[in-house]
Amino acid sequence: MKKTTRYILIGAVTVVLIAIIAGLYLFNKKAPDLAGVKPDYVLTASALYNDFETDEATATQKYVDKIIQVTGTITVIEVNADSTINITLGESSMTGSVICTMKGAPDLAGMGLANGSEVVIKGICSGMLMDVLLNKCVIVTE
Amino acid sequence: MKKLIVLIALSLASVAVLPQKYMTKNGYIGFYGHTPVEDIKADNNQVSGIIDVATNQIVFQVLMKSFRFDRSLMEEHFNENYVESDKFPKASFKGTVTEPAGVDLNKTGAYEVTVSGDMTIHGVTKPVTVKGTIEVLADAIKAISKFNILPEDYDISIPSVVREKIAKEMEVTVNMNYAPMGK
Repeated sequence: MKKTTRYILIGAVTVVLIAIIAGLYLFNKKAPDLAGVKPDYVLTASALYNDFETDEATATQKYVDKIIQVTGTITVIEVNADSTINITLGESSMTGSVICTMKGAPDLAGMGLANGSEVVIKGICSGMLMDVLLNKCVIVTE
Repeated sequence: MKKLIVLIALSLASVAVLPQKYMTKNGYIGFYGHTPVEDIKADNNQVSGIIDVATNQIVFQVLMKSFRFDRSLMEEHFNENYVESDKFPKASFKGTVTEPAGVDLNKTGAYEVTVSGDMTIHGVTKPVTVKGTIEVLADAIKAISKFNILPEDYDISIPSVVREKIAKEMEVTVNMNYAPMGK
């Protein structure tokens, strides 16, 4: 075999291998863990809720699929059917709330969090149903 | 006059004792499809639901974007190509407990029920009848159901290239835990 042909072959095989590895990587890529990701918007739970209540269409355009970091007071902690946890953030001034579905079941008691605690939570916004909904949430501690 | 006041007070008291509606905001709906090539599984813990024990009506509402998949690519395809979440952000169900006929959901106990109603997914509404269990506790109601749906029924077209990889039927699991409203 000529030297050049061999090089071309090795080159082609390498390219194909890289393509396969990249393809497999993309295919199996897990949903991102938000812990180390910079939020797109940082605001209070009541500001986020008010934006949706004032103009749902504009707020949907602005916030849905974005990473939102909200600060708020815990009003309800619920354990879900699949043992993940939902944390509801609200203020007495709000007619609704922001519901955060946590990624897994964080040890809230261990973090000193209970009803009435102020907390910072980062999650991906899914939009508004009766409340504003955030998913894949993590608690921000810094 | 006194009698009337007593009557009003009594009727108010009975309303307070027997809540007519139970609701939840953290209900669970998940779906699962299996083929030899690929398993598809998604979870949603943000289901809003109301069960009215006076009329035996059941209502659910979900945001499609609250369904979470293990793989981000699957989630992207689900939202962008299949259910078109930006165009049809919500799915809903509205139905009535038809069997056992006239069941009293104010009475504690576990009931095997049939629920009939309309399901709206991807902007398409279809009549559905599903079986499930409703368990009435002293201060809560639990509802569980498992049924199959066909994406094709809701005009969700799956390209032939990936048709093999996506199950024809999706198994839907519903798990709700309602609390009395106004508490």
